[in-house]
Amino acid sequence: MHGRKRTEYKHRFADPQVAAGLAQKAQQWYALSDKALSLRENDDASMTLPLLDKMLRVNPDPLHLWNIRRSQLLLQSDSNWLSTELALTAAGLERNPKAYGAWFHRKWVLQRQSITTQVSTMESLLQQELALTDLFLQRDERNFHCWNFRRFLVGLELQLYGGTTDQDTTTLGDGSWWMTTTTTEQVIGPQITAASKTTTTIDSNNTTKIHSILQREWDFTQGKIVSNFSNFSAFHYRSKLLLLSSFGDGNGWSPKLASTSTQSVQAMAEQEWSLMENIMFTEPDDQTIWWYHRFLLDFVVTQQQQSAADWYVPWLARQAETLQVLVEEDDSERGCKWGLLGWHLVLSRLVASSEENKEERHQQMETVLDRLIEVDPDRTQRYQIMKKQKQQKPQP
Amino acid sequence: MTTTSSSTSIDKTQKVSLQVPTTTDVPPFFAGLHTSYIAGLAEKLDAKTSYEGAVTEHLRMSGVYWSLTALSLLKSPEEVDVIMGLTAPTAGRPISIVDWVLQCYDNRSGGFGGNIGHDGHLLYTLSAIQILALADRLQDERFLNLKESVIDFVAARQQPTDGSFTGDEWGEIDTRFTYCALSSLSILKALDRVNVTQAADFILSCRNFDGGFGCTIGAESHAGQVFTCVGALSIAKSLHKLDADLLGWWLAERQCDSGGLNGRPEKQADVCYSWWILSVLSITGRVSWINRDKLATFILKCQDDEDGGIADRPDDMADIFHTFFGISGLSLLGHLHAAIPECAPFRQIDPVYALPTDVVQKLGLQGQIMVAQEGDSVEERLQQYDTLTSQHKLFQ
Repeated sequence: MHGRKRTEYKHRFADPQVAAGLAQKAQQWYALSDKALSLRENDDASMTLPLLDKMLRVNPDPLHLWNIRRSQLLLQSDSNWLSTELALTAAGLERNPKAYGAWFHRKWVLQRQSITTQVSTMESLLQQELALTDLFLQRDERNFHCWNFRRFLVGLELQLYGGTTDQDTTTLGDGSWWMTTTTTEQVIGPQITAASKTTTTIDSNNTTKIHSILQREWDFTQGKIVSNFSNFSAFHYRSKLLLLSSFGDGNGWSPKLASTSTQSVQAMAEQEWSLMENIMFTEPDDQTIWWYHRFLLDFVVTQQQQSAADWYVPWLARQAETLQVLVEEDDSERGCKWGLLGWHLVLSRLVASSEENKEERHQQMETVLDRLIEVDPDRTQRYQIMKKQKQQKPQP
Repeated sequence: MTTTSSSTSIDKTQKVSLQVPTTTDVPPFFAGLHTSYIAGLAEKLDAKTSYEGAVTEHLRMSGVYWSLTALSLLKSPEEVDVIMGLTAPTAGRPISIVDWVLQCYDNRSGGFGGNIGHDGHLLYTLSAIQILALADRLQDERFLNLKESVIDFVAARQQPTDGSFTGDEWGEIDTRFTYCALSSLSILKALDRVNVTQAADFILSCRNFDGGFGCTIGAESHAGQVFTCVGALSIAKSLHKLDADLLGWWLAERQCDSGGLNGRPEKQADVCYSWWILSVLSITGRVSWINRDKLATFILKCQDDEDGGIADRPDDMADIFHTFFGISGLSLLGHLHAAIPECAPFRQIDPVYALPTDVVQKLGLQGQIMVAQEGDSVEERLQQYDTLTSQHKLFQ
């Protein structure tokens, strides 16, 4: 009963008319349910499919009903059922946008389509599907089912251009992104078992296409973030997209930047920091951006090696200064907890990479932890452990 | 354990106060009301005029498991058996729960369905096995006849490519299913039928920058999914591969001002995360990283003080799902034991298998838990597990 007010709910059920109406609906459901189970035995699709259509529009959750439907569809000689299934799943998802069974059925249908359909038709179909995710994410920007579905679509799309190639083998229609070249890390995995495997080679002419898809997804997260800084789902997706930029040479991609033509890690990191800085000063108590900040610091370290210390350390030092200002200017009751945590994080990275002002920075970290215990007493235990660690293991 | 009273009558006025020292205005724990709520549920949902019963008939197996386990934390096994009609029919019900569970076996797939005649699925197969474990009927001859087929069904769900599991033969991949499979096989003493190492590696490939896990590789971290992943790693004895400090921190930050826990950053608190998160903090030895009293207070405020049951949030309509998670959460917090010494000693819930600890111990179920620091003592209820001392990583 997620989010149903108790008194209203009980009051509603206490009304004999409402109760009678719901009782009738229940009896109708059970009658349909019994019929669906009995019909599966005689494989009469002409009766079963309309019945299931009726049921799943009302309640898109029961997995076994989707199963019966798929079994019946596979028996059809005419396999032209794409539009009916897309309409049915869309109606079910209107009813319950978190129905696992409906999202899965849609993926299953699209997977089958992706195998038999020519590229141009599939391209326009996927465009429509992406538009649907846009609509659902406007209604609930954190619906993880829908974000997953969007990544599934991108997997199908990349597959059209050989962009999901694992060496020479493409797993068809499982929604995974298995990017080529320098690393084997899988950024987006399968959501449904592969329909088949085939051998393919990447046409280098398609590289531009693949890059434009990734850029479009990056821009999509940008749009979501700009409309609400709190969209952790968008930042999460961004973290995965950024990992793809580590593919580096040849077929690699990195997000095209608004402010500069240099597509280096430094330029990208600078741009992300300026976005963060804005958000941190606007919504310092919103934890979303602070998690992404932590990710970006880790990401930069994995990309930079030690060689770029001449950029890295000053970059961190600037962040430390900015966050100190944020923390010291704060006069809210909450005491800028996340600013303190972010500042502590940057300081700890600084003392690990630079000898400069080390003693002073250690001192600041200690002060920050003490302040955190004051402003966030619920999590004292963790801060105490952090303090103890520092005493036991002074950093080199 | 011994039964202090042979009476199974339900005293609606039994309201015993919890000792929650730091807050005022905390409602007591309504043990009697919850017992009557759970006891009355089956009859209510079984009525063909019940709307709730109709829309949830497909997951009835899980509903029965939630009911039984929640009640098992409040009453002795003998009382639970009589109140629920677990092993023998009770007044007004034609067959026992155990008989009903066996009727939900789906011989087409070899798994258990959510209701009679429904398709086998890992979600309901685990619930069915858990119910049989609670009823001490895993050695029932009728089940022994099915056992090999059930094991085959579960083992066949593992994908040879990456070690992931599908929910059924239709191919949906989700980390929830890995937990269902490993827990089921562990209870049936058949873990050797799957590649446990590969299963654990798949889980780890779903880890995100925040230390959490999502449904698939690349999916956003979600506290519910984190339980299934850490539970699976515990059963696979692979907790050493976890970054428990980072994960513990992310989970600790799920605690909201209300004291309740949310499932993702900047989302509303919900009682169900009391279980999903506390279980993981228990497995990783980090329950003290949140404010336990505030959480207990939040759960207590979500109780229905008229009809029993627990809701997702204060003043919302109660349901069995949240009742189970609320009571289990209070059990993991130790509040049930601390509060009601004069009652028959409550059984505790096990954080890995989500069954009463005595059931887990009797079945000799295996797993791994973590203590946060060298020298930390292991709670009695977890002493059968392998213990791993996690070395705190430096918080950088």
